[in-house]
Order: sequence, then structure tokens, then C-alpha cells
Amino acid sequence: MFSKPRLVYIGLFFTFALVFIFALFSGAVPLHWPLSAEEKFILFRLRFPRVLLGGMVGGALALSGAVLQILFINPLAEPYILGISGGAALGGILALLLGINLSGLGVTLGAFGGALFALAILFFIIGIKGELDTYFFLLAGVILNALFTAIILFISALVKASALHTIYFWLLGDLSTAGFTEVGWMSFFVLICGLVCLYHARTLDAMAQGEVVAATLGISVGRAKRQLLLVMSLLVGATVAVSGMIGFVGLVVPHGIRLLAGNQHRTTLPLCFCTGAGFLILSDAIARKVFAPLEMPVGVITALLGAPFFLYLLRTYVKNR
Amino acid sequence: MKKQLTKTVLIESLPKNLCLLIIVYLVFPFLNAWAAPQRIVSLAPSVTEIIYALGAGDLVVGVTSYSDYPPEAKQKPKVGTFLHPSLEAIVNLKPDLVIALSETNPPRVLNRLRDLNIPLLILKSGGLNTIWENIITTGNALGKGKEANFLVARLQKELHALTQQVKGLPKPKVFFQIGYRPLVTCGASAYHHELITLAGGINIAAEEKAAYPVFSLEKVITANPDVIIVSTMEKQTQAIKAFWAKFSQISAVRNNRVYVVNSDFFDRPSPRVVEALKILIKLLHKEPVMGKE
Repeated sequence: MFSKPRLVYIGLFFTFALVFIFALFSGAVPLHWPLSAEEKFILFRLRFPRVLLGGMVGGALALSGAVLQILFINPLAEPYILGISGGAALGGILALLLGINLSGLGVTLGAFGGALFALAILFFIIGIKGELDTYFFLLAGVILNALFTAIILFISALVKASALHTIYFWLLGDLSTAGFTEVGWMSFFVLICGLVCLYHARTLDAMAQGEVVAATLGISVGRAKRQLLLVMSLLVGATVAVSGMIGFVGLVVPHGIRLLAGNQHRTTLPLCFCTGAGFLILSDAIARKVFAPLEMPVGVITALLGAPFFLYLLRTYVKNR
Repeated sequence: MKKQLTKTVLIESLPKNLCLLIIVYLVFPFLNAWAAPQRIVSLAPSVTEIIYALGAGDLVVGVTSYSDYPPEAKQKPKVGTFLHPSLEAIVNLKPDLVIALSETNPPRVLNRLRDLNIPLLILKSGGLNTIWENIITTGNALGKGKEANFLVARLQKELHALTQQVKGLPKPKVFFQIGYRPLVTCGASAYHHELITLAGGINIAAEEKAAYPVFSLEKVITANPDVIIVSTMEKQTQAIKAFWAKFSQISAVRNNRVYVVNSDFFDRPSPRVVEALKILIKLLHKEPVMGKE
């Protein structure tokens, strides 16, 4: 009757809709029907853009996780763990502190540059071809992340105290000040990057089998790889610029989706996006609800949920070696 | 001739002027009341203290966590911490004025409040003069300009009277430590520095350009302060005393003049700076005694 992916599609769609509605009605202030003027304001001008941006950011992170895992031929790749988010944060902070505005896009471009730089370093270390041992690969990412964090903290020690708040935002990941401007830019970048990824879905399928197989299938991997890396930098850069460093979304979601819906990227990429969106929307709803009116940075929540999952994956990986 | 003309004109137009005058006098107080905000959200403990000191505590509808002075302020609805306030909670309180503190509240949050067209007053951070300025600004915004001027005059008089007490007394070298770790101190542009100077002490970090720089332990040892004052939470007293006890070459440690003071008095640029100065004077100008503070 229904094929497995289609069932997954339908199930996920309903879950996503539920999460979206749940998130809209969960926050520091409980909403009562009929809505008062303030409640309308809270719902439409605070929560709505926040939920939208959360969805966009979560989707982008999950998408980038899924693609990076193929590009690096490594199940544990993810922008945060590999230090790409860290590079983006450093680039964004530099653009911010140097006052590069470029009609509001300076920070995003800075973050894009930083992400690109991080990816370049990663490839320089592991070599453009290499099917490197996972441990070396992860180590490279973790150290790169530590390096970027250290540089960010070094800068924070030099600038005055008020800039510390800014750095806090970048390092912990936060959606609490999301507005429609961010939503607008983010949807623009997500649309472009998402389409490029979908365009390369077949290539990704082939690459998942290994580059040799892809070559025998007559697919030239090189160009697709370069384009995808550029797109990943742009996606991660845009994400970090609007929300700071949010970790582990790109790890948890693609794994779940692969288990549920298999390895066809034309199917899995959109599913990853939607599930990532739902995951982050839910995490952010938790972040603003649990200790309300105290706000918890959403990066803290995703790390609390995602880090144990990462350890679990690592353990399975070690066992199956 | 000319004079007379002016006079006539004045007299002729007098009823008109009078009417205008009466209207102005009748309406202005109401105008003032309409214009003055009635629902204020304070985004920092020091801001709350300023509003209360101006006698406008009734108008406060929301405060940040840790806004605990005066005690009544504790009863007010909370909007989260000053570092990470909840925009939803703020909006829900229907404020007609949100008062924030620059370099304390994150610019990201303040920009967002501005985008949402929520009336926002941002007070400045800086020296003692900034505190007076903030009190006046707040007073004017709340329609309590007169009270604000009185308050500032009173506070300045009290500070002046206190400084008279320490005239001619020897000036001890002071290391003022903010928090436990790292060793953050106050540079010349911080109001803490002014308080130390007014209290008749010499701030060993006076040459630092930043307001609140991280200071090196080596410099503290070289400068050999006579008094070390640590502004922090009381829970950390033991740990701090134990830390400094290791450096008996410092005069303050040798003479048992490491004091832990309640940071509420020292990290809030509010009218309570007078209390802070009193505490400083007491600590800087007493004979070295063995005992607890």
C-alpha cells in the first residue's frame, strides 16, 4: 500500500505539524483564548519568528550534517564537532568587532568566510582524497574547534566587558532574539543551499558507495564535491550568524532518518531538513519553557540531548570495528 | 509713545494670555501624568534600586532575577536574568518603559526591544558622575525630575561629608578584587576606583585603562597593597581567605587585612554607592586587628 519512505513522510509530517503548534503555544507566558493584545504580540512577533528561525536553523544544521557525513565519508561528521561552526563563529565575531556591516550581511559573510577557512584546514589536514581513520578525523575536528574557541576567548579577553555578552551568544547558540529579518535572510540561504544539495542528490548517493564506485558509474565527483563544500560553508555560516553555535543537531537527525528511510538522498535530504527543524524547534521550546522566565541558550539543550547520542554512536562504531 | 503702544497691546491681549496661561496650568499636570510611564520594567538590579530611590517603586511591574533591593522589589514579577531576559515575559507585562543598563544587558536584546517598538531607556555605565546622570535621566523619564535632583544633591552631600572624615588620614594602598576567579579589578574609569580614592585609599590598579581588567597576581605581589578588598558572594569567603593566605609577603595578608565584602553594595551603580563608601572607609582606616570582618 504505502512504501516505507512514504509512511515515514506522512508520520514525520504530522509530528512536525504537532511540534510546530506545540512550540507556538509554549513559552514563558501562557496564552489564553481569546488572545489579548500582548498575547497576540508575543505569539506573532516574538514566538512566530523564533519558531520559524529555529526550524530554518535546525533544518540547515541537519542538512549540513547529512551532506558532510557523505563528503567526509564519515558517520560522525557534523559542523559543530568538526569545528566548522567554530570557524564560522570566529569569522562572524571578527566581522562584528571590525564593524564590517555591508548592509547587514557583514556578519553572515564573515561567518561564511570562517566556515570556508575551517573546511580548508580540515581538508589540508586529512588530504582531499583520504578515507582517513575516523579517530584522526574526529581528533582534527575537535582540536580545530578548540583552537577557534580559544581564539574567540582570546579576543574576548582583549575587548571590553560588554562584548562578552556577544561572545556568550556565539559560543552557546541562542534563538531568543530572533526576528523576521533573520528569518528572511535565513530562508533565502536555506532555499539556495537546499536546492543545490537536492541537485546533487544522485551524486551523493553514488559518493556514499565510495568515490571509486561513483567514478565507475560515470559521475564526476570532484566538481560536485567542491560545489557542495561551498554550499555547506554558506549554510553553516548563515546558520551561525543568526543563531550562534548550536551543536549535535546535524549528528542526531541524519542518523535517525537513515535508519527510518534508507539511503536515497532525494528522499532523505528533505526528511533530514524537516526533522532537524522539528528537533530544534522542540529544543528551543524546552529552552524557553523549563526555567521560565529564565532563558536557557538552545545550544545547551541540543548538547544535553545530542552529546550522549554521539557517545552512543561512538561506542557502536568501536564495537563494530 | 512707543512704550504706551506696547502697553496697550499687552493690556488688550491680556485676557487672551491669561486664558492661555490658565489652560496651560490646568492641563499641564495632566499632560505630565499622561506622558509619564506607568508600567516600568527594570532590566538590572541597580536600575531597580534607582527607580525605588526616586519613589517610583509602585510603577515597577517587572524586574530581573536578583533584584533584591529594596526588599519590596523581590515581590515583583521576574523577567529572567539581566544577561538573558525573556522577551515574552517583558512584553506580557505591558511596559510603557523598559529601563536597561548599557554594558550589562546584551546589545542583541536591546536592539530587539527597539525593533519591537518597546519604549526603551538605556542608562550608561561609567564613573560616579554617570550614576548621578543616570538618576537624573531616570527621574526625567518618570516625571520625577525634581526628586531626582534632590536625590543626587543629597547623595553628593553625603559622599562629601564622608570624605571629610578621612581627610589627613594615611592613605593605604588598596587592591580591589571583583569576584573570586580570575583576579578582576577596577581601573581608573570604574566608579569603584573613585570610591577607593574618596575613601582615602590608593588603587594599585589606577593605571589600568580598561574599567574592569583582569589583573596579574604578580603585579599584586609587587604592588604590595596594605588592604585587599574582595567583593563577592559570601559563600566564597573561606576559599578567598585561603587563597590569599598563601602570599604572606603581601602586607595586607600579613596584617590580616583581606576583607570580603558583600558584592551587592559594590557591583550595582545605584544610590547605595554611599553605603559602599561607608564600608570602604571603615575597612581602610581601622587599626590592623586580628579578627573577622
